[in-house]
Amino acid sequence: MKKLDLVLIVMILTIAAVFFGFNYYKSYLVENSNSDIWAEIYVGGELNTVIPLKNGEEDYEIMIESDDGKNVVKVHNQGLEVIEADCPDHICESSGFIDKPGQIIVCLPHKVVVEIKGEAKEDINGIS
Amino acid sequence: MELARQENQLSRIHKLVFIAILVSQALVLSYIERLIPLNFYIPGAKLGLANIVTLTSLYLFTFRESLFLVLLRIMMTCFIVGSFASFLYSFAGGMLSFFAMYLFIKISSEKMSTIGISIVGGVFHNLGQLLMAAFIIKNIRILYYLPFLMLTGVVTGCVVGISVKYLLRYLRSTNIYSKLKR
Repeated sequence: MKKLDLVLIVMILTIAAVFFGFNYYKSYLVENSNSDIWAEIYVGGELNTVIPLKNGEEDYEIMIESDDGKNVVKVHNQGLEVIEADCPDHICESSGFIDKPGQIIVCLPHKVVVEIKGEAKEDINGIS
Repeated sequence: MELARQENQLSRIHKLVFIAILVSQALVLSYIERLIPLNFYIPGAKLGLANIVTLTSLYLFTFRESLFLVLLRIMMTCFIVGSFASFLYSFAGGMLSFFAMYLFIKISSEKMSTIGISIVGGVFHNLGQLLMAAFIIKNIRILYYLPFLMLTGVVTGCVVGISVKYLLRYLRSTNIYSKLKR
């Protein structure tokens, strides 16, 4: 291990930390501004389904069918997870439950992307 | 004159055989990696043991020879254990990481050890795969995984880099190395 190796590692970790911090900050803004949170499901780049998450009291499941196969998405506790998929790798199932804006679940073989979105109101009056 | 020609030919055969051995070792490493039930819950995250072979070849062979080796490895791996989709991912990741590692070896000129170079390779391999995935599923949001993959890339890059360091030290102590460098 040479000095330049350490410099490189610190650089990469810093870039990753900036990404993480930015994501965290965005979801923090949304969570504290009492705005809407919803999930968008894309199949092959096109918007397939929009699921509101804030007011959904009851748990339910929806089936996302594409040309390549199907994924079952379960909506509960103001978030969602993929509970079943007939793809070979099952990475989307092991991704688990997501409920924060910016988080995503991807099923590569089926070209399915589930993303949680939220509109952060630029509420700066209270601070300034 | 005749003797020199024969010597030259012998050295080429040595190289060819050694490249073949390295490719088959990469195939075995890819296979072993699949046997290890390591799940990072992130698409694309893996140990990248085959990078041991790629990085070693960059230190032993010329640019063209290593490129040939990497292409051969990617194609053979996909014929044996992969599919067409996995070929696209491996190709994008493998090529990007190969060129990045070559560039960093040239730029850093011995100031960066195999560990640093292999971390560069790991991170760029993940970047290549994510870009290919974004292209295939037509959704750029998948780059959300990049910071996660950068972290796993640093860790697996260290493991690979240390392995390459010891492999190179061993190879340099054998007569294979002197025959290759002739």
